[in-house]
Amino acid sequence: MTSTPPRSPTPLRNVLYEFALAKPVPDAALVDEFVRHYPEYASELTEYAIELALDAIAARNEPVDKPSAVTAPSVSRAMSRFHNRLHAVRKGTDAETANAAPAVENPFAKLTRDAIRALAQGLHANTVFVMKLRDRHISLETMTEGFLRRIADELEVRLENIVAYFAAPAYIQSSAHFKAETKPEAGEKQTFEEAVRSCGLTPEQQNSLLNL
Amino acid sequence: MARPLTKHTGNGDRYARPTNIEAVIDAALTLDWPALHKRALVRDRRSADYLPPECLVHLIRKAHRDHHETIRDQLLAILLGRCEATLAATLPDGRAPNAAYLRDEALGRLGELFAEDGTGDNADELDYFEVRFNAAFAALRTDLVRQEVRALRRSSPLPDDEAIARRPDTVLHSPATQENSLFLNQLSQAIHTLPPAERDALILCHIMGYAEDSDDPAKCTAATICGVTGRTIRNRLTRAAAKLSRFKEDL
Repeated sequence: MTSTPPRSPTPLRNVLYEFALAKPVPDAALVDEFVRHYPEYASELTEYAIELALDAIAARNEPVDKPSAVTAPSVSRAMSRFHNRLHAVRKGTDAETANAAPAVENPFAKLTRDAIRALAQGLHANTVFVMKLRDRHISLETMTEGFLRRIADELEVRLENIVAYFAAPAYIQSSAHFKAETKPEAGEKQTFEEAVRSCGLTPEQQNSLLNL
Repeated sequence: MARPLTKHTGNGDRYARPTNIEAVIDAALTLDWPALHKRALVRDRRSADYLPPECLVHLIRKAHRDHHETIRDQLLAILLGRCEATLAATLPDGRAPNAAYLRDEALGRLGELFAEDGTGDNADELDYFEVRFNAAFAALRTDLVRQEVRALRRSSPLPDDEAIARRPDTVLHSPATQENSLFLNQLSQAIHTLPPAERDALILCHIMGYAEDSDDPAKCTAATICGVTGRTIRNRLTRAAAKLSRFKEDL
């Protein structure tokens, strides 16, 4: 006697996506339909439907997005997870291994004081600006592609490496001294333009950087 | 032209983007990067230049496939920034003791989905996000926080106003108005203060449309779902409505 293999169950998350996309606000008929289709997820679907209905109330009330001039630390952390996961996917390792490993190399790490000055000169900027770049205090999404290519050239690294580095959360130097008992968390990042405007650069230097 | 989606529904139908999303994507694909970047930064949904999140997802995936890492990363950071704003509205501090962690987790998981795109068993998972981004993100977020939220549904009690208790259904299925938005804003906060049992009864009966109970033992009702009698459901609804009447007084 041969037995037929059990059907491969649809992953719960896919069922939830399908459920979420079926109607803006779930109703009893939709829940019943899905529960009939996926009886193994009956309780999850019902519970989830309640959450989605609550969510629909909150979502209908969402304010219009306001423009944000800064990158939130949580966005930087999520970008970091993206790069770590990408690294893991490409290396064929699991996410845990990748999270523990330093996936993003710091292209500024080996720069001596003189090299930093030379970099500042090469960018037509100053060392304050370079320090902001090094410490990732400038949000990636506000940098122009021209600027990113320029700094990748100056540092002689691949464009994707510099992009991955700037996408990570802002960095606080481990050698810095703090008044508080604990090391402070890195805050929000500045926009590229804010950083350019606030580093004591001459108008000519500012224009040069902003027009890259 | 936007690349067709490959994900299928449980019925075997292939998912398709809404027509308006297809049109926005087609137009966006003709832009050069500076113009596209400028438009991606627009966050006012009323603006003609606004690119919906479904469109950003498509562009990020395309940039990834085409090895345009800079474009991919900049657009992804912009999309995550928008999601962060959504999370701040749907999962604010105080709704759950670990709300900040949950917001971080949802954002991080979304970021990882882009890294996993085109690989593994669920290679086209992001297709859902090109159809209706907010719904798919809600699914992702709710799935992530489900266990925590269940544990955290230990809230304070509230009293009886059938009209208020039934208004969520009316408002959710009617066009958005300023009055409804205000009502929903306050209602959403009030519902989250209800104890879980009362909240579930309210949602099941007044938003999802389940009957409180039924003489037919085979019929799925709020009572069968919650594993209690119809009388218990009615008591819960009465208590929930009474508590929400305080909310009505505040309006």
